[in-house]
Amino acid sequence: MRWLVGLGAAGLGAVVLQVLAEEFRDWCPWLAGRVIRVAVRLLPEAHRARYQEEWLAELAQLPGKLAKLVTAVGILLRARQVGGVLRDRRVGGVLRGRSIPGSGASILVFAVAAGATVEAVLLLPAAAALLSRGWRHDWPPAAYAAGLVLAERFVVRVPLQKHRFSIGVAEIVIVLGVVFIKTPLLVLATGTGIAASQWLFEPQRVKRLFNVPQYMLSVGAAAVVSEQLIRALSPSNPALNTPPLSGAGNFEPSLTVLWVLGMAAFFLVNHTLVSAVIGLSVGQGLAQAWLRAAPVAAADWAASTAYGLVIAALVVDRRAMLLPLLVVPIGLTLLGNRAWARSLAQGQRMHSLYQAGRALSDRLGDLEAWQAFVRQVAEVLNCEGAAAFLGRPSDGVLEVIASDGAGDRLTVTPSPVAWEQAAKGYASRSNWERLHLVPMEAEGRTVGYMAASGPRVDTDFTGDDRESLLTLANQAAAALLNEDLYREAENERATLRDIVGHSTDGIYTVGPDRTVRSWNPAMAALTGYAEEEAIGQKCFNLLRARDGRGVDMCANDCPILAAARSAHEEVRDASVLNKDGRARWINYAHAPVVTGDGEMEADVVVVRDVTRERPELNSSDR
Amino acid sequence: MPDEPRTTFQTLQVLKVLLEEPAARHYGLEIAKQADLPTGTIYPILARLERAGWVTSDWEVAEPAAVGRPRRRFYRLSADGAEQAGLRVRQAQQALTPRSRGLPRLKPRGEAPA
Repeated sequence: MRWLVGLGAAGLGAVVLQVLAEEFRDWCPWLAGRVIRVAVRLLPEAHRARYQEEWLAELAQLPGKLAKLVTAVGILLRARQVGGVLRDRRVGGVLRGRSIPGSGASILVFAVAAGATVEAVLLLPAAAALLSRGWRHDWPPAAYAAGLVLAERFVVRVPLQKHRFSIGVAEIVIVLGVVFIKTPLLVLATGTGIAASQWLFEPQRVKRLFNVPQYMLSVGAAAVVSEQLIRALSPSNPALNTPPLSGAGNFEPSLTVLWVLGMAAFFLVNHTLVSAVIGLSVGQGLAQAWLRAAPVAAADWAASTAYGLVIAALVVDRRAMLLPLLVVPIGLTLLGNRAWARSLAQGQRMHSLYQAGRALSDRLGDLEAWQAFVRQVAEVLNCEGAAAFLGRPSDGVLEVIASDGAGDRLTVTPSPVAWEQAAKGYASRSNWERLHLVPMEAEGRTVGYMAASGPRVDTDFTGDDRESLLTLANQAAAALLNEDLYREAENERATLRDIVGHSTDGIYTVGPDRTVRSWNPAMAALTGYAEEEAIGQKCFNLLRARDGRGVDMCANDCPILAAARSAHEEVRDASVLNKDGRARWINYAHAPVVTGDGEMEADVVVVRDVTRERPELNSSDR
Repeated sequence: MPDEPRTTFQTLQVLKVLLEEPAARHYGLEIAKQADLPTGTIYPILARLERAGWVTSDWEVAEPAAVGRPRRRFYRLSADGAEQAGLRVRQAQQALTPRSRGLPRLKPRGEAPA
């Protein structure tokens, strides 16, 4: 009885399962649609409609219900990757778009924003109290905020022949604010001014979101540090209590050091925040990102601080004798330029090295490629000129290729010592100053010399420059040897073409689909099919090979396919019909060309006419 | 200028399919099938190629009611893409192709054929 109940239950279970399975299958298309809708939510909003329509259309064409669901899940698993590709664009040079949602950089941006909001809320009562003290207190913050808006669009750039000379006006305005405006008002005016400038001029939402709190926190740090230092070291100073610009008492030369220290706090906070967000965006450590940009940022900060303090002194005292003090910020700007030039050279060096190498390896033996290469050398080293001296061991000719387009051919004793002397002499005659010459070496041989002259940043080439020149010289030497190898290979290829072209044996090659790829003159003579007739045809249509019993070998026992299977040579005899229908006996050998994963890439076939050795076919047609 | 896409093995498979008929228009699942790749894999690759300008895509012109199915998104190689793809595929093939072991050997002359 029990087994009867068990059997019934099992049967019922099977039916229920069957019903459930069918029900599930019917639900699959609906589920697939839901999965696609979830997948498109992982894409940027602008692309969702397109991909939803595209993917649903693809699913609609799939025959099975379950297949639709499986495919939809496959798409869902890769949707985040598609979203990443669609978002992968640099945002304002600071943040990568893909790092916005949920990434460390985004968290930092929001943390900075939250910190600045707390700062603003805490400072509001004090700011409100200060604002009620009359117009002499009220107009400087308003002018400062307006100055920040204008300064955002205003960078002083003086065109110089070799370097940039640019001064960030916003930082100068901030220095004036730190000197003349009380901390609570200064921070709130900074927030207002930067927010207005970002809203007006900054197209990237992420930068808009980041820059306002970044500057509020940095300026807050500068104001608090300088104010606290003044309170501690000079508590009776009128700058603490008098309204700004009320007289000469506002600006005390003795306080300059304290304001510089305050601006140092600004630099530390500002540069750290920017470095952190850049480091998180590009996957670089904070210390590395901080140090990499520090020389340029510090030089710019120092110059702006000096300009700001000199201008503040001029505003208060209006004495022409203060003007010579501008030498300090101008000198700092020049230092910044040098740091910028170094940083730029460092940053671009790897890229330029790569490009320089490619220029040569892409176009071996091309004079224009060599000229492009020496121009790259001059660019990488940021110097006036560069040249390659390419030696020819056979006759001692030294080919000169210079970055300014000049070229020459010197004939000297074919030795590295003579080439070096000749290169130095050429450089001297060309008036190349501050020359640095390195040998071009590859595989233990000196094949020429590479020269660079007239470094633009320093008085002489630095150790880094010399090392880079050596790397480039060795790269060029390798390219020169590759040129020789290329020529050798070309010669070998020409020789092979001659051999194949003049061979009395027929030689042809076919692809894995048995399409003829090459056909030598002996094959043309043997079969009657010219090269242009044979190439692109299936070999079995041209040869119609049969064995001694008259069996069609191409259909039943194709030696090409046999060679592909075995990956070994196959040697056979066969009778073939030529274009005129005449039978010939041939002995032919197949050698497959096999790829690394064992697939046949091509088959080389050598054919010999052995009709004379087959008495039954001599002077008779089949 | 857009970045060049990474040419992974799977990307090469997709490029090979597109190169077989450069002027033809292909839809996603068709490419996946011909390239023998899992369905989902194809879309990040196509998005990357499209972003690099190697591939262009557009909607099928036919009316869905007339063809009895939703309109498809078609992909095809751009002129620049066809050139770049051809280059990459050839480079990959050259890298994979070992040198021939030389010409095959024939029997010495005069030996009786089989």
